[in-house]
Amino acid sequence: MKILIADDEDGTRLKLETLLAKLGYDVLVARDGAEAWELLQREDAPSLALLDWLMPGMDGVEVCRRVRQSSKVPYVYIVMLTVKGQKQDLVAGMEAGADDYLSKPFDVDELRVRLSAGERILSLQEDLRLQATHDDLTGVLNRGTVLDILHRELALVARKSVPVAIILADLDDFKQVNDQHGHAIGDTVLREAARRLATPMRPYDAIGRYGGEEFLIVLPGCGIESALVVAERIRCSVGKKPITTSAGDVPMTVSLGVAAVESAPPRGADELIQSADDALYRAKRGGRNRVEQSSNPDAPS
Amino acid sequence: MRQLLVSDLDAALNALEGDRELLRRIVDLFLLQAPQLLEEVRESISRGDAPTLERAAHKLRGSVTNFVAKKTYDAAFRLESMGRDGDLTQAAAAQAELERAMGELQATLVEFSKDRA
Ligand SMILES: [Mg+2]
Repeated sequence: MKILIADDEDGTRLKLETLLAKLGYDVLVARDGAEAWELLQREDAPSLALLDWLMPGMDGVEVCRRVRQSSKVPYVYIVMLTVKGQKQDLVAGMEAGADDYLSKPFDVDELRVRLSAGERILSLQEDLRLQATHDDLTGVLNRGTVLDILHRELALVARKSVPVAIILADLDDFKQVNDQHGHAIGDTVLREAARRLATPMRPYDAIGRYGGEEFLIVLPGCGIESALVVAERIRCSVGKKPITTSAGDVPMTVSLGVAAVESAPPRGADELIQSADDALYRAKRGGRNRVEQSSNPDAPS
Repeated sequence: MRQLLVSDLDAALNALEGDRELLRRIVDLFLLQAPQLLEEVRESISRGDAPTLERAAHKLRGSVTNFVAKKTYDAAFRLESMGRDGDLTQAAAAQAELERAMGELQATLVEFSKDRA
């Protein structure tokens, strides 16, 4: 696990760097607050930080305050380093959003115990974050999160003129599975179908459960033509063979509606989803297990 | 006992899980920087610059925590507090105490550093 240490004293830095490396951490070192803040803003920033309270320039409390204001995700667990006798400072540090503090001189056991408490909190935070953003049953994103992603991508269309496409995918005759085999088997089918839907996707695509057996897929950077190719792959991925359940094999197919925004001024999310939904409706009416595209990619249909 | 007030190197070593080599590296680093740390304290007192004294004494105090050096730590803490309160009237006496303690500490640390057993 990565950890950042920031301290203006060379001796303390050397001590922490050596002890933490021995404990198996991947250590990043900063000599002052500005350097620490720079490292914490990076994409692959550490999620554990030991910040000295008093440093020239930007102090540890200020770094802590900035991290909290940026409401960084994933969470950074911050331990403030103080020298004893700084009670008021300690209060200030904790109020700035620090999670814990460690007084110098500390020994290696103290360090180990405090940091493992931190790691425990981080893993709980991560569980909560996953719960808050993912669908319990299928493990794909939930409706709110995939819609957030769509809004973010649509903002990019306006700013950078990159296209974005969406696919609405609805499992065919799913209700019959529930009616025939019960909800437990229905859940198994939903989970496996979600996995198959996601299989052809690229790492930066997003899929969320939009309704009961309906999924919304966001394809950043895709125009209508490449989105149709992805949709066709998804259709094959879901329908190529029946889904195995404890009640026997259940055949399953999916119908897909595709819509894209290729240039500014972009359509809003609601409008885009509406045209994908219209296309999906045509796919259903046309016999299911097929892909349809929005009739006019860049204007409301 | 008196020696322990200068520096309890056994305690310092235990805090590092007995890593003698690491303690030696921290000691050598400190010996290299001690004159500069002390000079910053002296200068800020002679200029009557309380905020700088607070910072310099704080840094010195933080540095010596690694050696469990009670006398130096206490003397630096007194100067730090004076700096924080902006009252340097007693600083000369406290500075003399710090210089004495630092002298003893450095001598002890030099011994430790030389002792490459
Ligand atoms: Mg410091």
